[in-house]
Amino acid sequence: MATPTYTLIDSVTLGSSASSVTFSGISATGKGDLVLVISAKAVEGNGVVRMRINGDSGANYYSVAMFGTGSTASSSLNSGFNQQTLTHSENSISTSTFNLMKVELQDYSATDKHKSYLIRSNESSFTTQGLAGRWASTSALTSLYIYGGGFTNFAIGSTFFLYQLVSE
Amino acid sequence: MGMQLIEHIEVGSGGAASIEFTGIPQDGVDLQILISGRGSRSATDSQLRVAFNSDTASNYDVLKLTGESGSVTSSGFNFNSVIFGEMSAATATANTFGSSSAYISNYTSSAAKSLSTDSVTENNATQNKITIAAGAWSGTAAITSLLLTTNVSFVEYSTASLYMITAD
Repeated sequence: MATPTYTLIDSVTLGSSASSVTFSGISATGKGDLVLVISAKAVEGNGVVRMRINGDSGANYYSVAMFGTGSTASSSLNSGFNQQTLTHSENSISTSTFNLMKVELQDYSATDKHKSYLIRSNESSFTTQGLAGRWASTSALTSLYIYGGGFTNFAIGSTFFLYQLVSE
Repeated sequence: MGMQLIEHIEVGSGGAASIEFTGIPQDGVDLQILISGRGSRSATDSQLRVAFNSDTASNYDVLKLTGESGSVTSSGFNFNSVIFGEMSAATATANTFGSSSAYISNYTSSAAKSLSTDSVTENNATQNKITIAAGAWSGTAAITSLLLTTNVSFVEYSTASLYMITAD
């Protein structure tokens, strides 16, 4: 029988609005990747979903994005930001629909490399984006902090699922 | 278990106008569709479309970003299905099939459904496409079936696999 390799670490479903969601105490047991799946909408207005790793608010986040708005196609580079946005330039979350965002973090427990990740963000009224990013730290990833910009609270019913893909 | 195969369908001799998954179990969180497809349309590529629960009304929105042969474009529209990408078709290099992935979050929820999709055609020539898309279905019922269609038909050996992501 095959060993399950796509394992839920934790999940949050908001029963009331919340300004942030934190996954902490992420175990470094076993090498592998993390997959964060977010389905969320905002309460106060459209905005951008942001992420910090291990609470790091230093200028340690780098990413390149390609994005379409339905009329224009663009690309941009963010260097030395103090957080990782899940979209560049465009809103990643709205008040009207639950927007799907997926973050794949490779080799999250490694201590000999910076952490790289791939992000897909989707808001069918604003943008579809693909991002490649890097957290410039060799520390093992032990926590993820997800919060917003341009809005204050994630709405009731927003979901956040964190999975581990174990490679050994 | 994490990620479970619900069903795998391979198109047989003579091709098929559509690929349908019915009776989708309702105890999962998200769905993922993986497609290896080739169409019979007399062109290098043909569309990939998905509709849910036999809903053929104009209840679907999509926002796409496509790279093709050195150019990048973005488009968005409303239709009777989510047109989320392209697969190889009749005039593409023989025996080449496009690869696509569609991820649907919270498929049993009573909210509108969001999709994140990635597609690429295969062709040993300059005419190729890669597309990412944000899709949405305004239906608030749980997804119990889904129908994959294209411009004309899927050829023999096209395959589609439907997976369920669970929270246990």
